[in-house]
Amino acid sequence: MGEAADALAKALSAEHAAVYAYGVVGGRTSGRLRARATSAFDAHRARRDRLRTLIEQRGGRPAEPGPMYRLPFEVRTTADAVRLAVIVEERLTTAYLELAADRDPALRRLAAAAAQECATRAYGWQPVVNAFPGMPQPAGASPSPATAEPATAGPGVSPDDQAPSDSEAPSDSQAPPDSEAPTDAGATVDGGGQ
Amino acid sequence: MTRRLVLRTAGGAIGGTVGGVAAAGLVAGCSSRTAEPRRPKPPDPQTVLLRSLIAGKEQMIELYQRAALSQARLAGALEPFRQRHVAHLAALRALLPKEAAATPSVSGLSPTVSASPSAEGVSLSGLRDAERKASAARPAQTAGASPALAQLLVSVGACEAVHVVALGRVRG
Repeated sequence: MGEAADALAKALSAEHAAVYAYGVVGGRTSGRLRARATSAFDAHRARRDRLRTLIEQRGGRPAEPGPMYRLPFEVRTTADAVRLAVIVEERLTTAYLELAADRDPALRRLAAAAAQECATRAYGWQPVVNAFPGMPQPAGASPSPATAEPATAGPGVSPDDQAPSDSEAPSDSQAPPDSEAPTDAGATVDGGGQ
Repeated sequence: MTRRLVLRTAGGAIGGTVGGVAAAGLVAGCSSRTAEPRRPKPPDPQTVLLRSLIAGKEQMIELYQRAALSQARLAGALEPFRQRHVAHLAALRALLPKEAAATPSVSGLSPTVSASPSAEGVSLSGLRDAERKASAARPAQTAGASPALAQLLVSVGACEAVHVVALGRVRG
């Protein structure tokens, strides 16, 4: 698999995971937050479809989403849902940064636009500004926030092939808690949809 | 075909068996001393791009300095934004080749510039426009960039896009 195909596959996996996660977020939010979750769900679904098309155009076979994904923590409250949304957007930003290293200018443009959308959505959920969205944070470093709220860091969303299938649409469904979820956020987001 | 070209060709053939030293000797022994004007080395496109990006960042930082000076009540709120641009500037400069980094920047940033009485004030909407334009330009700027610079530009553009939204929440 070439580097572009690999990066595209990782971005697609991350989008699959995002679509799933926003289904959960939608189920634990209401009002304006629910509307924001629905909007994000639609945006990620559109990106997912675009990535699928790009992979097919390059002769590849886009991975299907996992039937269900392990969440990094149990999403019981609205605050949990917000935290999950931030994690999803941050991990996607990283996936698109990886895609931006490809030589294809069209892929770079797509990656740049998508990373801006993800970073902006993450800020919408939690108003913290990172100087370098998507980049690994140096040990002990802290972002320079626009507000006093702390940055969220945590594990991502990983597929769980053992779990039963679940609907894509935002719903009131609650993903099962998973205390064994990996703590390596990048790996878990990138590993979705296998 | 000129003699030099013939020798070069022969040297190329010899070079495969005898070695580059012999081939170099043949060429050196027959080369005339016609003075060929030394053409300046064309600038490295990556360095040119980096210098342009650095100049843009310096201008952005200056905008924030002017905004803070002209609207003192916003200075504290704007400082984190300025600091992030300073971090971007440092990251861009770190990608400059050593020889290029040793030469002065196209638009040197001077803290006294913003203190000039003639410097116009900058409004919040002016800052937002500047951030919006900067972030909108990033996708196209990645086209000629090295992979590392492309990734940096994407990340910087994402930060600038967030700034557009975050500036909308700044209250004096």
